[in-house]
Amino acid sequence: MREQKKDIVKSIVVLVVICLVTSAALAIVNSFTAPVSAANRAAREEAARRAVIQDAAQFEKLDSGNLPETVVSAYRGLDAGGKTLGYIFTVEGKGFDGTIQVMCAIGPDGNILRCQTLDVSSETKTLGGKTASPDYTDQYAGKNSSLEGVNAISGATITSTAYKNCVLDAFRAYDAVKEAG
Amino acid sequence: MTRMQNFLKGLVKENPTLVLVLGTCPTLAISTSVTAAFGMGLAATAVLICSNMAISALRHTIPDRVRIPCYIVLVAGFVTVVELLMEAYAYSLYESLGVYLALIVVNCIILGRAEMYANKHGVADSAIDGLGMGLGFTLAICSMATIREILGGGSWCGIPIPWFHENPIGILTMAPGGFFVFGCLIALVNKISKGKAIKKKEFGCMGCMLCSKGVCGKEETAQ
Repeated sequence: MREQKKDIVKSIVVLVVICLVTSAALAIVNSFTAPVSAANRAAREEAARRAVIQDAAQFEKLDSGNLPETVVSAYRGLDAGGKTLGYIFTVEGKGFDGTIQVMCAIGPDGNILRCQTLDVSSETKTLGGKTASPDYTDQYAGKNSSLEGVNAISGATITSTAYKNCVLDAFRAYDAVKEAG
Repeated sequence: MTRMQNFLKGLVKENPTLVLVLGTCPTLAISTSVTAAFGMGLAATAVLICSNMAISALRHTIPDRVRIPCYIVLVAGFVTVVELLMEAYAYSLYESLGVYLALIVVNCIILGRAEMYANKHGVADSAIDGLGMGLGFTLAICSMATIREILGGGSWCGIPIPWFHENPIGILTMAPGGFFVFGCLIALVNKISKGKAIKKKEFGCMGCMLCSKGVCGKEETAQ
């Protein structure tokens, strides 16, 4: 009986110690890699913003507190003279099998400059995944908030609708930003 | 068994993927692209060497009844380290491996080597075993990816290949094609080794932990 008790205690102690040591080691590794990962992520986002408004000299982050909930981040693209070239909204929506992310740039005249698909990895590659191709995203360029003439991808109604809603949310955010000045 | 033999056995004779048929899930899923397959192989090899060494070093400390949770914690720790490093320094690879990187934790090759080898042998031997098995896995997944990417996608490592690029066999990049290529490779390895590869006693009853400790009582019949 005593032997057995000793055995159980030893098992518990060994497992707990292994868990503690492992998590401590992970914390140390993470403290080294986390800043690098964060910097890489920021650089990728910056590159994505630059892809939708090529001429911008700098991007200014806007407060997204009073924008629609689906808007993840909002930026204003400025040229060298400080003139607003457009607004960039990163919007999340519920796709077919998870969350999709769309980046939409709207010019000061209320027309879309460019739409860029950030993440549709949760969608079926050959159907909803096609929303990532330029054939689909290029349709949005130059459209106003009515989005007339944007064709959905056949067989991917849910993803296409989610995508459109993301863009509409971007317009809602655009109106809110405009109102605020 | 010399160290060299110990290392070489993982490459062909006891190749974890094509002879032991372990780690099938990442093999089928990742082998559509050679670069991703190579990254997957190296990641699994790194985890395998580290986990084999750690488990071998702790083999007298870890009590039998909690050995599986202990192994899983150790393996998960190493996988997370690889994941963190890859996210920071090789993001495109990290993205192309997706969920399968985290799934290395439950890769049967790693747990299998811990059970079959690392908890009975010394640290250095276990490291060599891990290296051999890991490279065997890399070799298997890369050769499979080569076949699938060239015939199914018309490219190799993303470089388009003239004639194949215009005439891809699309189904090879999908799951059924994966099984087909996998089966062909297993048959090929069996043919080369004349069927000897699968008749090792280590994978029979004798390989099991319970048996080597004389718990299950089938020891005599197995011999």
